[in-house]
Amino acid sequence: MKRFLVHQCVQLIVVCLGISIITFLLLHLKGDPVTLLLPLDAGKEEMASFRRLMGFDQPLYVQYVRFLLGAIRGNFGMSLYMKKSAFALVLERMPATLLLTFAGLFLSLVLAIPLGIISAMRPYSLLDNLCTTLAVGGQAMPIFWLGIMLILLFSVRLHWLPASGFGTWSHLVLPAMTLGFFLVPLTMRLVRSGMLEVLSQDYVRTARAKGVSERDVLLKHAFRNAAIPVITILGLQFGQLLGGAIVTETVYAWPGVATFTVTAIRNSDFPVVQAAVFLLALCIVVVNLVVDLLVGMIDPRIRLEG
Amino acid sequence: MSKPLALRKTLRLLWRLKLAVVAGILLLGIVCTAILAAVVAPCDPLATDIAARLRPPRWLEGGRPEYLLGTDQVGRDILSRIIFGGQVSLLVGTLAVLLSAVIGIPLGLAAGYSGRMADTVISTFVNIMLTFPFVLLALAVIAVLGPSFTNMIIVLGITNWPLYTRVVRAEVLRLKEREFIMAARALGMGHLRLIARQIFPNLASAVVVISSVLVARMIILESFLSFLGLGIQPPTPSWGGMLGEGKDYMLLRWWLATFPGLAIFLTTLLINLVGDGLRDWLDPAMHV
Amino acid sequence: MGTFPEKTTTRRRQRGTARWANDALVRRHLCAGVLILACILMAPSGTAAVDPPRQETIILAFDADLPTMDPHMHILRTGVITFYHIFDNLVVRDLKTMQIIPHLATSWKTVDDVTWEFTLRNDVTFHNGDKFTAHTVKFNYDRCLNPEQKCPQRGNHAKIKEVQVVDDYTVRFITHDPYPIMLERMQNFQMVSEKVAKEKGDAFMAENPIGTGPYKFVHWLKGREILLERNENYWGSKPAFKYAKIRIIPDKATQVADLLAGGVDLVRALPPDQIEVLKASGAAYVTTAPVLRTAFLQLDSQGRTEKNPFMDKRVRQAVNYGVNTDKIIEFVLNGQAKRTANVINPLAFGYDPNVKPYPYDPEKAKQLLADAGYPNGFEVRFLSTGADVPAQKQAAEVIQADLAKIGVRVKLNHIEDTNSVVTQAKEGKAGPMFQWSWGYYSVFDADGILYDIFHSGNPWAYYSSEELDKLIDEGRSTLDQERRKQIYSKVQQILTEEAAHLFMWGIYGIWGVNKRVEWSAPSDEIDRLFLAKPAGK
Repeated sequence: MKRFLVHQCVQLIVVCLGISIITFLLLHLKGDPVTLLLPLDAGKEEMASFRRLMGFDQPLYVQYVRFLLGAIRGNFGMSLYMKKSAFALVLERMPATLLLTFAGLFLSLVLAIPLGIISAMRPYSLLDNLCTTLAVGGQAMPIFWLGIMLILLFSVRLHWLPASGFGTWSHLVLPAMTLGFFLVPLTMRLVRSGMLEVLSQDYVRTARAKGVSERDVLLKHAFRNAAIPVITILGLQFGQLLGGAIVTETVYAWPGVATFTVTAIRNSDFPVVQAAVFLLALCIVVVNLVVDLLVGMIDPRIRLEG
Repeated sequence: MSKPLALRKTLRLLWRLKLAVVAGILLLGIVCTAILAAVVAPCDPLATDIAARLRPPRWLEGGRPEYLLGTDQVGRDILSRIIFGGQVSLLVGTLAVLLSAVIGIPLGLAAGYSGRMADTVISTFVNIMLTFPFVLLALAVIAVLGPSFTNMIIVLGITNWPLYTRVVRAEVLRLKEREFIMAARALGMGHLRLIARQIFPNLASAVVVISSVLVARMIILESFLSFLGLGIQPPTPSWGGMLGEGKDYMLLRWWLATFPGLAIFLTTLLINLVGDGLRDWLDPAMHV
Repeated sequence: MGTFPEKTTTRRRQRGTARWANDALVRRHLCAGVLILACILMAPSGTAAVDPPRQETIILAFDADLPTMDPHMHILRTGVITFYHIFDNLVVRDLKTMQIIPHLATSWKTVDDVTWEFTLRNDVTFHNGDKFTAHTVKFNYDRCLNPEQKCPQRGNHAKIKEVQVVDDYTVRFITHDPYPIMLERMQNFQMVSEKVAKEKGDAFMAENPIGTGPYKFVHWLKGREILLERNENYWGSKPAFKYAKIRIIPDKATQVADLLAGGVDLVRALPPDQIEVLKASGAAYVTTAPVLRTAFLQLDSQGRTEKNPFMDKRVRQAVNYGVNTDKIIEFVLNGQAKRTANVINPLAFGYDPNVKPYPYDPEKAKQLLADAGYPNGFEVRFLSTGADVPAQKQAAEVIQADLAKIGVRVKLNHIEDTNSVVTQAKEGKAGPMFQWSWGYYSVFDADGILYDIFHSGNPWAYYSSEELDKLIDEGRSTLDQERRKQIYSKVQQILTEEAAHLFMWGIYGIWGVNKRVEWSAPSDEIDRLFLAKPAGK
C-alpha cells in the first residue's frame, strides 16, 4: 500500500513538472504580452523598462526557475490582467467546472450502463445495432451543435429551462446533458464489450448452471468485472473531458475554469495559464489515483497480486 | 485446405461480417467521391455569389435549382463544399493518424522491448501527454505556429501518439513472454529481425482498431479546432470548418451546419464499422 | 465491438496490496466520503447572490468580463458602458442632437486658447455620501495623468497640462496647446471619489466602484454577472428599471437564444444575419443606428513589414476599384452600413460629403495594375480578424474573391484573436494588408481617427506623409471650427486620391431587444440602460 502511494506521488510530481515545463515553453514561444499590458501610447523605452520590471528580458531558464520556486510555495504570481493572485482566480472558478464535469459524468453513466448491459444481452440484434449507431453518432456529434440544439428545444421553444447561466439546478441540466452525452458512446461500448467478454466465461456458465437468476448473473457477477475497464477508461477520459468542458462552458456561459484558461492563453496571461494547467493536472492525477483505488477495491486479483 | 473450401469459408465469414462489408463499400464510395471531387462536384466550392447567399436547399421555399443543398454565408454551394471538404477532412484524418503511428509505434516497441530504463522514461512521457489536456496543447501550439493545414496535422499527430504507444507496449510485453519468441532468441535471431518478423505482425490487429478509431476522432477534433478558430483557413472547405461557421446560423438557416454534420456522422460511422469488421476478421476466433 | 485490452493489462502492475480496502467498514466510509464530496460540489457555488425580480430588471449581455471595476484602469468599450451607469462624467452627449451637453458640469467657457473654465453642480454626492467638488475633478485628472498610475487612458488626456481648483465648484483646465476636442474626450472620463481612492487604495477600487451615477453597484460575480441597483438619491432623472444586470455570455448564438428565451433583454453587436431570426421569432425586435466605428483594410504603403506592391499608389487605387464594396454592403450586411470615401465617418465633425468613394471598376483596376508593373497580378497576405466589424469574416472572403478577379491572389489568414493582431500591428508586423477598425474613442471629430492612424510615428500608422502630418497637426491646434473644416476637407481629398487604404464603410450598430423593453439604439455605442423603459408604459 505504502509503496503504491509513494509510487503515485512520484508520478504526480513528475507529471506536473513535465506539464509545467511544456506549458512554460509554449507560452513564452508565443511572445510576451507587454504590448497588451501597457497604454496604447507607450513608447519603446517604457515597454523596455516594463519588460525589465516583469523579468521578461531574462533568459528562459532563469524565468522558469523563478516561476518554479514560486509555484512550490503555491505562489503563481499575479494575473497580468486582473491584478489578483493567479492561483486565487483559478481556484475561484474550479468548483463550477468540477460541478459540471461530475454532473456530466454522472448523467453519462446513468445512460451508458443500462444501454451497455441491454446491448450485451442480445449481441448483434437490431437493438444492439441501434445502440452502436447511437454510440458512434454521439462520438461524431460536435458538442456545440448538440448544445445549441438543446438550447433551441428546451429553452427557446419550450421555455422549460434557462438558455445559459449559472446559479440554480435548472441551469445545470442542459450543460450536464451536453457534456454527458459526449461521454456516453465510449462508456456504453466498453460496458458492452466488457459484459460480452465476461458473459462467455466459465464461471458465468457455472453460475447459470447453479440456478442463479439471470438478473443476478448480469448485475452481481458480470457487471462487477466489466466495470473495471469502464472505470479505468473514465479516469483517463477525465483529461479529455476538458475539451468538452471548454465548449460546453462557452455555449452555456458557464463560469468555469476551462474558458477562463482559454482567454488567458489568448491574452498571454502566463501566471493564470500556469496556475490553471497545474490545478487541472492535479485534478486529473488525483482522479486517476481514485480510479486505481476503486479498481483495486473491486478486483481482488489486482489487490492480491500485490 | 482445398481451394473451393477455402473460398466458401471466406464467403461465409464475409456474410457474418456483412455490416462491415456494406460499410466498407459505402466508405470506398465516399473516398472515391472525395478524390474525384473536381469531376463530381456541381459547382466551384470557392465561387462566391453573394446575391444568392444563405439560400435554403432546393426543395424548400426560396431554394435555387443549381444549389441542391443550399448556399452558405457568402453564396457558395454547400454540396460542392462538402464534396471538396471530404478531401481535406479525410486527408487531415489520415495524415494525422499516420504521424501518430510513426511516432507512437516505435516508442511503444522501444518501451516494451528494451529494458526497464527505457520503459520508465517512455511511460512517464506517455502519462504526461495523456494528462495534458489536448485543447490547451493545441491552442498553445497553434498560437505559436499559426493556423494552417500542415500545422493542424502536426498538432493532431503529436497529441495522439500516446494511444499507439500504450497499446503497442502492452502487446509487446505480452508477446515477449511467449514461447516462440524465447525460442527464436535461443536460436540466435537478432533483435531487429525479431521485432520485424515476429512481433510486428502480431500488432496488426491492435493497430488497425486504434487507427480506425483515431481517424474518426481526428475528423471530430478538426471540427473542434475550427470552433476555436484554429482550423483550416478560409476559403478552403473542410467539414469541421463548415460546422464551425454554420453554428451561428442554427436558429434559422440550419442547413449550413447540418449537412456537413451528417457527412461527419456518416463517415465516422462507416470507418468505425469497417474497423470493427477488420478486427473481427483478424481475430483467429472468428475463423472457426 | 472493441475493447482496449491494453488498459487492463497495464493496470495489473506490481502494487502494494490494498488489503485494507477489503474491510467493509472502510468501503462504506469511502462511499460516504464520495457522497459528501458530491453534495458539496452540487451546491451551486458562489456567494448567496441577490436575485432581483425579473420584471424589475433589465438584462444586457456582454461577450466578455471586465478586468476591473476601476473606471480609469481599462480601455474597453464594455467598461465604458458599465461605468456610464455607476459613475458620471463632467459632460455627456445628447443622443438626439449628438451635441455635448452639461452633466456634472453646468457650463463652461474658454478663457483663452489654452484655458477652459467649468462650473460644477453643487448637489452631487457619491453613493457612499462623499461630496463631489472641484477637488474631486482635480484629483481624478491628476490620478489619470500620473505616470506611476499606469492608467491606460492616459494618452487620451495627455493634452491637459494642469487642473486648477478655483473654488469648491469651479475648476480650470490648462492645456499644453489649443485642444479642440477637449469636450469630446471629457465625455468618456468618469469621476471617482477622492476619499475612497486615497483611503482604500487601488485594490479596493478594482472591486468596489463607488460613483455618483444613476445606478449603484451591488455585486460582481466574476465571469457571471454584474448587478446594479437604482440610485434613489440620484441628482438627475432616475432609471425606469430598478435593477440593471449585465450577464457575461461569451457565445453570440447563445446570447441570441437567451434573448428569444427571455433570459436577456438586450444583445449588442448583433450579426446582420440574425436580424431575420429575430423578426421570425416574434419575441424580440431589432434597432439599428449608424455609429462612429469605421472599418477599412490597412495597406502597408510604408513598407513597415516588408516591401510590397502597395507602396505604389496605382496598386492601392487598383484594389479600391477592384472590390465591389456597395454590393457587399447590400447583400452581406443587409444594407446595414454606410459606404465611406475614406476613414472619416459621416457622424464625425469635419466629414466632407463631396469627397466620393471609388466606384467598382475591375477593368480600370487591371489597367492600373498593368501600369504599375503587375500585368499578371500578384500574391499578397491578408491578415483578417473580427476587429469589432460585423460580418467581417464574410466580407473578407468576398473581398478575396473580388480581388482574385483582377489578378490579386489573396492568401487569407483569419485569426479570431484580435489581441494578437493588435500586437502585430503595433509592432509593424501586420502588413501588407490587414483588417482594421476604429471607434474614435467616441470622439465625434475627424481628429479622433486622423492623429492615431495617420500621423507618422504612431504605431498604427501604415500610411503617412509630411503633407498629411502638417495638416493633422494644424487641425488639432486651433479652436477655429471653420478653419478646421477646411483642413479636414483637404485631408479627405488627399486620403481618397492617394488610396491610402482599402476603404470600406461606417458601421451600423445593430441591437436585439426583447419585446418587453422599449429602447433605441445609441449612435455613440454606449448602451444606456437607464434610458430603457418597460414596453407599453
